Amino acid sequence: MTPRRDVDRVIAIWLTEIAPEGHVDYLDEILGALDGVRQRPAWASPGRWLPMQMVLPRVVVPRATPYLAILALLVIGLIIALVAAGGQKRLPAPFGLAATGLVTFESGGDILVANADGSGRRPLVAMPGGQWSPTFSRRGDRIAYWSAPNLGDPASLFVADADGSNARLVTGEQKFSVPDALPALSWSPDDRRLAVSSDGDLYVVNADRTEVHRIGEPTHQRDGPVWSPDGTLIAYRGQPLNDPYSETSTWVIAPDGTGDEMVIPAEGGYEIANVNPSWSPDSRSLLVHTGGAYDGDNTDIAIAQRDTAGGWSHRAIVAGPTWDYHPSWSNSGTQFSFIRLVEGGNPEQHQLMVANADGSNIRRVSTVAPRFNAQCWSPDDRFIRSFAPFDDPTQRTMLLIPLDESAVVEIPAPGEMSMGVCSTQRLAH
Amino acid sequence: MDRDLVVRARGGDRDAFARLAAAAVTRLDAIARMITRDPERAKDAVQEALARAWRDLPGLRDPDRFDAWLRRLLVRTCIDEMRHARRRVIEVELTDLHHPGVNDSSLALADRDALEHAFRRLDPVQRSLIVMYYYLDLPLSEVAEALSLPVGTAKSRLSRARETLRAALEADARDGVEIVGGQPI
Repeated sequence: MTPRRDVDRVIAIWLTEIAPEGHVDYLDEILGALDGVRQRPAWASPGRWLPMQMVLPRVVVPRATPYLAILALLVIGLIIALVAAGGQKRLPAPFGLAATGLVTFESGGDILVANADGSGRRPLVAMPGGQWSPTFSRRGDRIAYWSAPNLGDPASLFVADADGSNARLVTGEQKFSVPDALPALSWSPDDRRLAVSSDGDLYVVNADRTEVHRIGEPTHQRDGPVWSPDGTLIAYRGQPLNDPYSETSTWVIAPDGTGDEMVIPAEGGYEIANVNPSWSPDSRSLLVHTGGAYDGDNTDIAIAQRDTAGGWSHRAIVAGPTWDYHPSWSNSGTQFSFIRLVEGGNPEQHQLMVANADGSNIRRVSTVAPRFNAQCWSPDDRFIRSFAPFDDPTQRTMLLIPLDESAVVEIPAPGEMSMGVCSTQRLAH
Repeated sequence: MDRDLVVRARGGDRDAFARLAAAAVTRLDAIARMITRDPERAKDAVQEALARAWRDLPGLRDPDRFDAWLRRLLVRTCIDEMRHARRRVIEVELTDLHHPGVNDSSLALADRDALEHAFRRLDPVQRSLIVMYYYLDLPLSEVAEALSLPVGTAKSRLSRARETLRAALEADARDGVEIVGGQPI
């Protein structure tokens, strides 16, 4: 033996020598064991949650003329003056606790609303084609939604008054490819702009129809924007370009496109993680669920926190052998909710959990099982909104699950769209 | 890899998946045995990887990536198996996995022993790096991708693993020098 050798060659030879040869005799055993393994249902596959392919070429929206901008400003000013002078409905603060107004949801391609006790279920926007992702403005006086010739087609963004009247197209001729299961629009705190995503790009849209512009450099995909309560940042789900594994991470970016920064990295990929981040009311922290790809199959609730200097750090705030998903801050900021699947349980049997803001005192809210999708708190923090599990979309039912052990309110909502979009109107106390 | 089979399996066709599994299982088993150095643990890893593949296949966007995706699942399950086993402090008897014939190109018995012992001292990720890079002959970018590591990190960890094996070989070489009359020859 010579002391100086080609180590790489020796390692390669050794590996070739130890490589097992011959037939594997346990394939039937493996395939038999698959009888107890169900494929993830279609709704749970990342392809359903992450952006669809753009099917129409983008059309550049020309900037509106200054005359239109001036006109829009005059109209807004006139509306504000009329509201103020007329002493009409007082508007709530954009964040924090507020009175609960209408719950809104998509059903059969229309936008419906109902009262929080389940009464008064009625269409708000019923037009030819499909409308989905209804989202009330922060002050509850307007509602934004996607509209297309058919549900799921490349869509346009509309903003209407809270009663469904006076609908205006705000995105011009541009069409947006919008995932149907997660929110793809978020109002700014002042209700003047909306952040939207389409096919891996983020856009900021003026609610008065004066401008649509893309933000961020083309370094990665961006989807699912959520505007921070203080208005300084937009959180979103990031993903590498041409990513075959759904390596999703949580990012923030300023509304002008600067300060793009990852705050929670992917943990191995191929899981529906880092989706639909939830801002705390003080804008200092974000909750998402992470992991799930390979690390024992469990998902944790992670929190990213911003220090006074603007630096971010992150950690697991709910961890363990359970699958925990879709955290959502309460409006008071004292609690958050999430969906839990206990390991070994039936995937359809999820539990709605609530924890204190520091992750302590985790408890189950109700014996009613919610469906696996994002849920949200009512403006008064008295109930959490979700859907009941279903196999038949015509039987879909929205659940308003109270935190005080009173009866769950069930509202029929046949359909499959906007599963993770759960906007409830905020009203002044 | 038959793309049509992948598409069918992705749509829930168990027979199609069984054919994909049959075509892949021997190679998967070989990789798992090499990484874990334990046939039972390798079998568990292969079973888990195929179960995950079946479960998650509907979400695989690009059917042409099936092989790389399955290999990635397997390597990750091997790492999980080894980590979980270590946590449970299960002592596994060393198993002689293979009895290669000795020929002109084969290594000396002492080399094989040195490499075997050094390899067993590597952590699961380092073992996976060595197997994928030197045995599967994958480019470093694919190795890194399979382990969800940045390429630079994969490179440095591979370098450390290689250094461990090299040091073992050199120590073996020093120990193996014949001593005649109290002096090395």
